[in-house]
Amino acid sequence: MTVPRCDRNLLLVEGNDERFTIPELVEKAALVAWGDRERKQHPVEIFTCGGDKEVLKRKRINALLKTPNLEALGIVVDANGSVTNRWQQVRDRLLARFPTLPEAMPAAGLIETNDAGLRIGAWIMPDNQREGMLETLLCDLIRADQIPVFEHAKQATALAKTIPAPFADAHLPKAQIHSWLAWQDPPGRQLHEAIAHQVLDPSSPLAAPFVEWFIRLFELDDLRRPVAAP
Amino acid sequence: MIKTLNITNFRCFRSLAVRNLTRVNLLVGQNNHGKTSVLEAIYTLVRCADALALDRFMSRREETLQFTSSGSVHFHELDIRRLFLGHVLREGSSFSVSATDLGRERAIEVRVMRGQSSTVSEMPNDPSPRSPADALWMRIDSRWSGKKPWHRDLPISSLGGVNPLTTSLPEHKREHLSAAAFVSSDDSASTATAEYWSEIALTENEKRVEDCLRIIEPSLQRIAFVQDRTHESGIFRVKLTDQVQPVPLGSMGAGTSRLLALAIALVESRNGFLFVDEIDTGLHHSILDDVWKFVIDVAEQLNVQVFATTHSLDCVRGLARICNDSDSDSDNGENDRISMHRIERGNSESIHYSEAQIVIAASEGIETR
Repeated sequence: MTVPRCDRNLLLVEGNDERFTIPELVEKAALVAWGDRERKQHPVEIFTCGGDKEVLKRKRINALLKTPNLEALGIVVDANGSVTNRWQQVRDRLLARFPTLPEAMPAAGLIETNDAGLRIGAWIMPDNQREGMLETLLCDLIRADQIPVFEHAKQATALAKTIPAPFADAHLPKAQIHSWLAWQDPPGRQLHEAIAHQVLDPSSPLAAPFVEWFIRLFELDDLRRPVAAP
Repeated sequence: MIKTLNITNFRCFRSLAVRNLTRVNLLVGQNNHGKTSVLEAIYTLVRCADALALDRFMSRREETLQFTSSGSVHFHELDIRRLFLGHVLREGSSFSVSATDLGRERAIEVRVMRGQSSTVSEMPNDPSPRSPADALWMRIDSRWSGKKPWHRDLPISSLGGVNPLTTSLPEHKREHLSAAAFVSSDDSASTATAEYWSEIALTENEKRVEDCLRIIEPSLQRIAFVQDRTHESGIFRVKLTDQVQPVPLGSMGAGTSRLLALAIALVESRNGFLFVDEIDTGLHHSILDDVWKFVIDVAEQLNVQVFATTHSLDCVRGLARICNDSDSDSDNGENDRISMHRIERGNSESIHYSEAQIVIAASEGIETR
């Protein structure tokens, strides 16, 4: 009985933004065939919950770790204020099953295998080093010719904050990137559509570490499509 | 109430530990990975490997030897080798089941011996009896800390069979026995369950049984077991509020009949154990939460520990709806009344889910079975 990959590979993320952008990134950047989303043939099953507090709930992580036939579980969570604190929180919840987790979060993302052969992965957005969130990484993917427009988005967002616009300071990268998307063609694209249409550049070297971590954790090398011959 | 369980060399299990057991326990896992065998192991333990108890579940699996002897007399023996790992029946074969029950250890060990035994006589009607030196017999050792241990010897026929109709245990050994009922996946209310009705009728348990049947048929007023000219062995009849004449239970569908069997078995297991294989059989998904609610409420009222198996996601979801959700840090569900355990072939430990984990798994579509 072959177990479908999506029962062996699970990814836990904060919400729908991650749920839709991550497959686009991986598919466009690494040419990994994500498969037919309707018919559950994708390589990784993605679970969303309601934000960082939910991602860290032990009962959820423990229930996911007990899934039958599980080979790898990945967790993606925003750093927000401090990567060190966030890693301590994540590590604390995994130590019982993965006793050899490092004290510090590796820059290339965490991947570790325990004695039972189970793989765990963690990625603290944007890059396991800086403060921020998913949108911080996505901002890095804005193409060079659009940087001036993005600078304007950043100024406009800062100005709006003084009126005051109600968004939380911690959510600044979200406000900035959605403002910039409002001025693209067509205006108001969603984040994952922006990646699909290469408005955000999935092949940017700044996206590569995350994509490589993902492929390594879930052992998806064999799903990379060959690059068409020139 | 049993908290941890260890099974050795029983059926497919070389060794299996099940921990964090609670008042109500649901066992899940793939087909033929041993869920039902775990129920049978605990049942064997709490009934001290009594041959009649073994017959209860071995007959269902066709693990019996049927033959005629002395002309046309029909014999029925238990094909006892099926209980031993690898189906090996020879001198030294043994299996054991042990558990911690309210902090005290209780265990049974069943061992095959060869040769003369002072207490075991030859099986009557053995078609080809062996010489005393070669005869195999079975020693059952029962231990329960705080109580006097005992052993009992039973003969094994030349066919490898054990007679299910052995003499009852003497009084001083009966203190190791617990009340227990075993409901197989295809059991439904029948004249067999009727024998318990005389103890239930006119007691508060009759009301409990009626409450249970009202999960399927809210208009049910009363149930009775009656015998008459056209139903000499007796039949269950129910009175519905909107019908003048009582109707046979069977007219209300197989699910109702199965639910009756479940309710009777539960109320009969006061201070003991209830085992239900494939508890959702014949029951529509919409009533499963109510069935679970009934089971846990009555199990708490009557001090019954319940072990059930299922394949059904609806059944797990129904159980999840009566679990307590909490954000407790502890993974072992110390104060839980309900738990779920996955039995996996080749894994000597079961995978335990606490109440909070059952709830989150069910509500978020995390696979557990």
